[in-house]
Amino acid sequence: MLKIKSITKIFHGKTILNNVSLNVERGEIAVLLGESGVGKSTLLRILNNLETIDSGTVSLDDKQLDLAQINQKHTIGMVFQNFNVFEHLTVKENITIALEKVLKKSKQTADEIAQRLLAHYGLADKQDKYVSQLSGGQKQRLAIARTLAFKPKILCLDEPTSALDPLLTTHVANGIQELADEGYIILIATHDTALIEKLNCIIYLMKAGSIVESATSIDYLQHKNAYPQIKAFVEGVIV
Amino acid sequence: MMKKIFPIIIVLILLLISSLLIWRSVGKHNVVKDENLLIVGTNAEYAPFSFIENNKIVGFDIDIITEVAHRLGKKIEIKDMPFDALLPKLQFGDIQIIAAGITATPEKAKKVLFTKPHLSGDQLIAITLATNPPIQNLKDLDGKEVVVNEGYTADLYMSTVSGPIIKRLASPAEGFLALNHGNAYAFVAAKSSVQPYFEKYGTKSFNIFLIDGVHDNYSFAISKQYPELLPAVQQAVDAMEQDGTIAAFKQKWNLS
Amino acid sequence: MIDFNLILLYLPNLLSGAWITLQIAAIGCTIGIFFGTILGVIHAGKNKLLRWCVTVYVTAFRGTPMLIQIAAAVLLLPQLGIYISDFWAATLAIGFNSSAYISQIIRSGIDFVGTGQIEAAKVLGMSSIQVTRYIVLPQAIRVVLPAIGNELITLIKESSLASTVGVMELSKQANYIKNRTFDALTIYFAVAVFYLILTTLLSFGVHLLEKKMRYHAEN
Repeated sequence: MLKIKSITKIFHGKTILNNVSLNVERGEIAVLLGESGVGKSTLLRILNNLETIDSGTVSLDDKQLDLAQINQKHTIGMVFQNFNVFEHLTVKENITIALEKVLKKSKQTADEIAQRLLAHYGLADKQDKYVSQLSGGQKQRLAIARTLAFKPKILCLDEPTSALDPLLTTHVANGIQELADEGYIILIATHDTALIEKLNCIIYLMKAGSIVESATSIDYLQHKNAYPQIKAFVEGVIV
Repeated sequence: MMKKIFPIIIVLILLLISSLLIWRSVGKHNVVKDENLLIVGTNAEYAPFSFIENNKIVGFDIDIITEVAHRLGKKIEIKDMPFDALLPKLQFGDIQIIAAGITATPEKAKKVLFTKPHLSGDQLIAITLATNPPIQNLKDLDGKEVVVNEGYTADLYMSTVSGPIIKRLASPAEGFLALNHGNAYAFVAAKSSVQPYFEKYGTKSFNIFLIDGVHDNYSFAISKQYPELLPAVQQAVDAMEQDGTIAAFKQKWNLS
Repeated sequence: MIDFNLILLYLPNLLSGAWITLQIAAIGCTIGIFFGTILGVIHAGKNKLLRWCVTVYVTAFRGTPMLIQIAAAVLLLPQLGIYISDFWAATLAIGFNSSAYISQIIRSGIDFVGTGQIEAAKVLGMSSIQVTRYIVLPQAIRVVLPAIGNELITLIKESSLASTVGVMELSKQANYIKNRTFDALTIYFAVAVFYLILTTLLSFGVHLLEKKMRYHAEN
């Protein structure tokens, strides 16, 4: 279980995250829901060592994580809103490059791992093409595959649907659910209310750097009025 | 591949055409219309022959040619320009005479007309720092770096001497700079070209070796577009030799 | 007219000068690109002190005439106890001057790549050096290759400044011949052709490199 405890981040006098805590079990999907600027992406970035924190701890299975080393330990992975695939490499090389340079895998081993992932994500026939030839959905699948190659325990997705055609939302949701079923700890930052309706997840509504309300998606959908803030956000009403 | 070569071929053709046009314009260019005007080209960077002082162009050659113009009953117009530009302009006929401390050589005489030297016997000398042993003969310079001024007689002469490593720099100032900074062992030049420096800084820190049998001499170059000027100018110069005018100028400018 | 016999007569001089020019340009380019890339990466990086050092370096080299830099190299290096030939002093000055310009070209290329891919690479566990080497530079260089090509062509022509300290490169050989023959037209023509050949060869080389680095579509 991932325990995020009392994370606070202040930047230039402004409190970005205020004492944020939450726990996520294996196989669980935690959705940080909120408007732009509430700090949901920042929390994900902090977990991936892309931002610093002023106080707080993170632990996995009761062992505290050193966030500064987390990339090298490959405990966590991130799928970015804009995918950030490597433009100068082929689809396959996007996966193999880090395997070869960071994990020092042999070309052959890296190749095998890449092939398996590409096959699973339906990108095998595009493996020697450059990423500029991929559609948005394909790029995202590549970004996910690239991350999974390292077998992280925790997977973060920042705004997974905002750069895609809304018709793809169901596909994306299914893909994420599949990963949860495989045992990954998943955190999503999003403002896309359509997404949460397709996921079996725990919703954490954020406002101004704090979690103000939480509910399981199932519970929320059955008892919307019990969760006024989430309801207001989903229905687009300003509270 | 052809696409890449095409522009280059075009440029080469343009180069050839422009060269042809330049050549054809020689002789048809700007012929000096005014009979009473003598247009003289110079490069006022060569003391004491032609240089700038108090915003005026002065010098040994300047004094002589000004007097020549006077004796020919002409007004004089002196045009200062980079040294490289002098010959082409002379060939075109833009200027009629070059007065710039030029030395006549057979090669150059193919292209221009020269007056007989109005200054000769200018000794070529090798200058070294007094902190080094004085030179006994040119062989002492073998394997050493020797500065000459590009295009001057010292350059032409020393290039034929095997042994020294020749370094061609633009002016006497740079020659002395190299010498004083240890960037060269010796500086070979005609005495007249380094005279101004010695007058200013003295010769105490230097050893001077006279190179036997090598002297520089200076003439005026006259454009082949105005061949009639040669006898006229020569006559005037000869007269000035006779009546001591030239000698007076030599004394004025400290030239022997 | 152009005296081709003259060109033939002095061909050894011209070839010798062209060879020196080529060496100056090649060594200058190499220093310019390697050192320029290092400086560019530093300048685009996070270390404030190092960034400031690069700024000072670039300001010095871009803000003063190369002529002065070459003269300074020849005059000052011996004072520091460094005794190298005029050729090397001039070539090094030209190379380091070029690196100042190229550092800025590289830096703009790096900025172009953007932080997104850099962050993705970092999250995958790549060190800063690996990110720079495998992700940023390949893309940055590819983008700015035309600009670098331009700088190198400029360098070939600037190599003639080495003549001011006595190096017998192509333009100085041209002066040598001019002073002896008094035939400027022929020599200017010959030298123009030589420089044209040199810069064309270089352009062609850059073009080949661009083709090799292309990675869009056509697959």
